[in-house]
Amino acid sequence: MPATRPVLALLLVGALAAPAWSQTEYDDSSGPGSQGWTVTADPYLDFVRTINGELRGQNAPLFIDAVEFEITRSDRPDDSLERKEALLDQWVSYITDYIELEGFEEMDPERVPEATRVSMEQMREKLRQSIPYGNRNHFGRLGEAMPILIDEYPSDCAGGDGAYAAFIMSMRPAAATRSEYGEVMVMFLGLGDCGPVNPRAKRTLARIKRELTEDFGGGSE
Amino acid sequence: MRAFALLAFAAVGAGEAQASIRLDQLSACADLAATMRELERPSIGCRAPGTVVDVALAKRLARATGLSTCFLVRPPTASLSRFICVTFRTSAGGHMDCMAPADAADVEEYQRNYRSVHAARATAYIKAANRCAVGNGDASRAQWSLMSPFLNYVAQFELGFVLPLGQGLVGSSAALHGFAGLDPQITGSEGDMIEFFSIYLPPRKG
Repeated sequence: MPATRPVLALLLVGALAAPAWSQTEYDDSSGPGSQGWTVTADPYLDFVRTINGELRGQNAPLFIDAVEFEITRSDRPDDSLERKEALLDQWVSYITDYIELEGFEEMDPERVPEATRVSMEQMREKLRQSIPYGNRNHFGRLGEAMPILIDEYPSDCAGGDGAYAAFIMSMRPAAATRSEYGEVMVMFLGLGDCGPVNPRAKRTLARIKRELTEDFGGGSE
Repeated sequence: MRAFALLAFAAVGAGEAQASIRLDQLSACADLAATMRELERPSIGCRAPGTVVDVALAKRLARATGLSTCFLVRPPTASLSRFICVTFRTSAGGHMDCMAPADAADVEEYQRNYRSVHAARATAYIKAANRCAVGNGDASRAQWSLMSPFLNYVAQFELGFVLPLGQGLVGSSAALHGFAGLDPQITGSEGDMIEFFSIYLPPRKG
């Protein structure tokens, strides 16, 4: 997904009014744990480098890392768009659960509006508007699920005034495609004492991203 | 105000009334070569963006990419006389986008009657483009993904044609000609269309 500064700025305003992403029951026959999926990971190296450079230039107390997973499957050509979207939501939940194992917790949605005064719908529209007009029909199909996860007490951050965050977004597949099931993007943030001055924080988020990529983006199951 | 601004854009590129969309840019072989020479050795000066579409393009590009633009004081060739052209300085080589107002009804008619009326025209256009010495002989109908990433900030691809430039299997240079729908937030109305011509050249070696 082509990301721009407005997208990042929007995400960095803070958590927005995201509904709690309740645990999804996985469809064992065709869900994320089943055979037949091809997941291709893009580590977003240029994007991460560019954004972190801008953040350094602004002396911002945070850094990012990111990965995108393109999800395809070619053995179910009759899956409807609605079915594909439901499966994509399962993938979002699957990845969310994985990151929670690293000590992250999904942010309580009741905490969000007080801090940001921005609704989920407003956030989704701002993200969509940040995509170039000509690409919106192709890349602008943001999924409903946008879980935001926080690790407020990471052991890496001795000062006690830092946190890790993970934002997860999905892009719905276009209609009339055979094997595309959409994309899931994960953006990690290291904030405050877990920010750019902390090399342990960078290594931790890099490890989580690497393991996530290896476990999910290894190609056909 | 927006209506007047749109009329100004139309006035710049006003031409003869057309019964259907023109299929001409990629087959104007001499002008294609001249445009490539202009991109490689720029000689035409820049002007400030003047039309509502120019201004929107310049603003959106500056905000999103930091890229600077040069709106040419005149198009580089006679075949582009109905267009407004803008060049970009990028590390990826020369890039020029040109825009002209288009009649949405003509585009819609072309699409509606493609099979019965216009398919043969399109095929003939592609054949004529393949006779250009600057191309690689592999002109074809274009997909939306080939549209200029800069024009995407103001318009959405509807239809187009592409001629790769150079010899053999070419991936980094091409000329595109097509039609796209303008962002209604620019003009204040739905359904406005532009005709576009874009040309990409790779960086010069040495």
